[in-house]
Amino acid sequence: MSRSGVMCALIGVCITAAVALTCCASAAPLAAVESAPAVVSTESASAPTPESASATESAPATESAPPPGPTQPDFVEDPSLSPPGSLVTKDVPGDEGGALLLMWEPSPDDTAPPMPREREQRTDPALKWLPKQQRARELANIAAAEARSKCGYVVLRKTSAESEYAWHPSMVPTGNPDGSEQEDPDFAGPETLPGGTREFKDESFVFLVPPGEDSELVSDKPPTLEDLQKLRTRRAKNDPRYNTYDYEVRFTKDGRMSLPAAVQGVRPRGNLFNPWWANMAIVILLSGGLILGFIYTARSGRALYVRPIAGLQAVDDAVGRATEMGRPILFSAGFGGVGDLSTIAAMVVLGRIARVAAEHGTQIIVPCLDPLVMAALREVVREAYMTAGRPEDYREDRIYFLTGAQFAYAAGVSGLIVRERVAACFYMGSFFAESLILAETGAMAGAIQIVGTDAYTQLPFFITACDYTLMCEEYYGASAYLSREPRLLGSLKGQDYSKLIIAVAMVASVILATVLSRMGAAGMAEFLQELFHYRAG
Amino acid sequence: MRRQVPFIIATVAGVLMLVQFFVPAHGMVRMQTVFTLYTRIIGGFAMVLGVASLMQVSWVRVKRRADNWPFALTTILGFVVMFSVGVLGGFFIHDPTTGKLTWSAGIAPDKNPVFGWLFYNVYTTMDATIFSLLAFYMASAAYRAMRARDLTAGMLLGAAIIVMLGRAPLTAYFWDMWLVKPTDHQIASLGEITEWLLTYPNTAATRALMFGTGLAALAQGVRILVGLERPYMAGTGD
Repeated sequence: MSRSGVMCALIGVCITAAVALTCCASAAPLAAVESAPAVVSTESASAPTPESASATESAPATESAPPPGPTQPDFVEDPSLSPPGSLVTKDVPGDEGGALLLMWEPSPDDTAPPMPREREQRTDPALKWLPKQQRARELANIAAAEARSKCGYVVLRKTSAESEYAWHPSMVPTGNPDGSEQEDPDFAGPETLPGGTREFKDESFVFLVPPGEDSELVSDKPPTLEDLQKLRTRRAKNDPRYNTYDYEVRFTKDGRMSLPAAVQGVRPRGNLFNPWWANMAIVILLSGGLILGFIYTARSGRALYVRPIAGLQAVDDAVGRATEMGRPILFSAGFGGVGDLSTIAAMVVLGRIARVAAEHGTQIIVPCLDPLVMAALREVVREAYMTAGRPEDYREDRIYFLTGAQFAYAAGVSGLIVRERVAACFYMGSFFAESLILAETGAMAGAIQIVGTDAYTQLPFFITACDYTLMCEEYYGASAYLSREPRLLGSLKGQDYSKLIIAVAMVASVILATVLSRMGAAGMAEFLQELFHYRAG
Repeated sequence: MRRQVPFIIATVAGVLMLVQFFVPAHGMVRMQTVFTLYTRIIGGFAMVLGVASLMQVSWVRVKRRADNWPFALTTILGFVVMFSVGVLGGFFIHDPTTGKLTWSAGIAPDKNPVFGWLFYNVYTTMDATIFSLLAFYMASAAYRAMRARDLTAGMLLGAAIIVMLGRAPLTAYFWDMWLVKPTDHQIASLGEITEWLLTYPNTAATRALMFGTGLAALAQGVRILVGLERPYMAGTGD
């Protein structure tokens, strides 16, 4: 690894921290919400107080009041119903700060069975083929669901600055010239939960974005500055950076509700590290370290063996064949954008192919699907022709944007293959459903075809229709293989050793988890499973 | 300097993106959003570059009466028609009360009746036609793939036949009627065998490929971050 590489990595880390701090500070607080109270830790959530309970008492809803007011409750308060107990809040770890977990003890009047932690797979118990045990389980599930539907909990939230909980959205102007109003679309209303519920994850927080990004056209006229200010003031209520929140949870049954269990002055926090992805971070650090280590070792000049890859050995032969036949070669960089790794790998391979083509005096056609990729590929081919000492042979009009649509591209490239009678086709990058159309057309035209792709779902089609296929990691290793540069080959070695270590760890963990669960140490077995568990989002 | 500045920009941006993946704090999420926005803006400008390139290539072919020049002319005509209808037509709205076209500040393409008609009746139809051709290509590819040349090709053939028959309702029905029910479920149904093939051997092989791809992509990322590969500079390194 070059010294400048290490320097840049260090600079990168420093700038990361600087940009993160800048971004955190850049969200300008609004004048309307600048006076938000000081941060109160979620752990300091207080127990329910009589004051908070009495503050929310209000007249029961009546049928004679058609549009319910924002503070008019949906249930009649009945002190004889027991409220839920021990309401506590907990910050959801590993998130941006947009979720808060509320947990409570069930009301003594809540006789419904607890909600299952995971969604149940439901099957109709009336099905005749259902085994007896499963039918009994399904019937019990139905009875439990019915019991849960007869009672429930209602969770309300307000900012600490507000005096009353709102049950219904306020009316806000639509922005139309006729002065019409609509229900506040940013209203985070009361959440009604079935009986047996013990916790609720409030994810209705929304972060304000800089002025302008959140503008929306609600009428034919552009919004005035005043409209935008009102909109932001309204939305700021849901931004946890500028508010703390009070919650109350009430038990409900038959249109009645208990006194509340409440917490005050809580808010979610943004986290600096996502603990659910710690396993990925460890693997990346371990593998990255090994790869860097082998790159450094390779600088010593020690010969490294890399197994022969037929597809890459055939590159020169394919270009040579095209030269002998006096026909052009076609290169497709697939459907990835310019930032995709598969496209970057395609650029590296194209550089090599274009250089060989330039040396042989063979024309290369590169139809592109993305204008940015086209610009990058033009530079790659131009440099290859210059390196080969044939800059005068470079033709920019042979590398062009064909279309941005999938099947239009497939039709266009298929037409090119047939009309130009290309002798060799190279498909390098990400491909989807069009892969077989391209590959079969090339095969029917008698072209030698070499494919490199990370799209494993398309591999069967390519293997069937093409002469050589570089599968996934072979494709990414193509640049190192073709250049024979020791440091690049070193990275392949590092990659292989990482793979070996992870594979051994996986097999060992599977065996260990099986043995431990057999021995009754279920906790340890679950921990081993968690080591390899990926949580999306 | 010409080589160092792009390298520093690429490395810094790469490290930032890597770090933000593990840091969910609001500032990092904002940064990613802003960077994505930049990419989209640059992509928008690049589209102009791409269209200009296509028109230039097509125009030269028409002008020189090169081989198959009518295809190039069709491309130009298609572009001119859709562009005119999409952009200019978007400024007029058909007012049903007066029956006249009235000037508007611009409407969405899906509310532009002529553009919509051309899109759904010309473009979508041709797109579906090309997609439909896939069925014939699959048939010819399957014919070539399903030849038992050696043991592995024979295994492939066997698995393919089982999955094909298992997915066809009629064969699955007869299998159940002739084999599964008479043996009192001692023989698995064709659907179960198909599911087993897809769930275990197929998934295992797929995951092995994904596993290798992930690590190879990581190695490629490291090579780019430390500057061993610099495709953004149209070169392959130092």
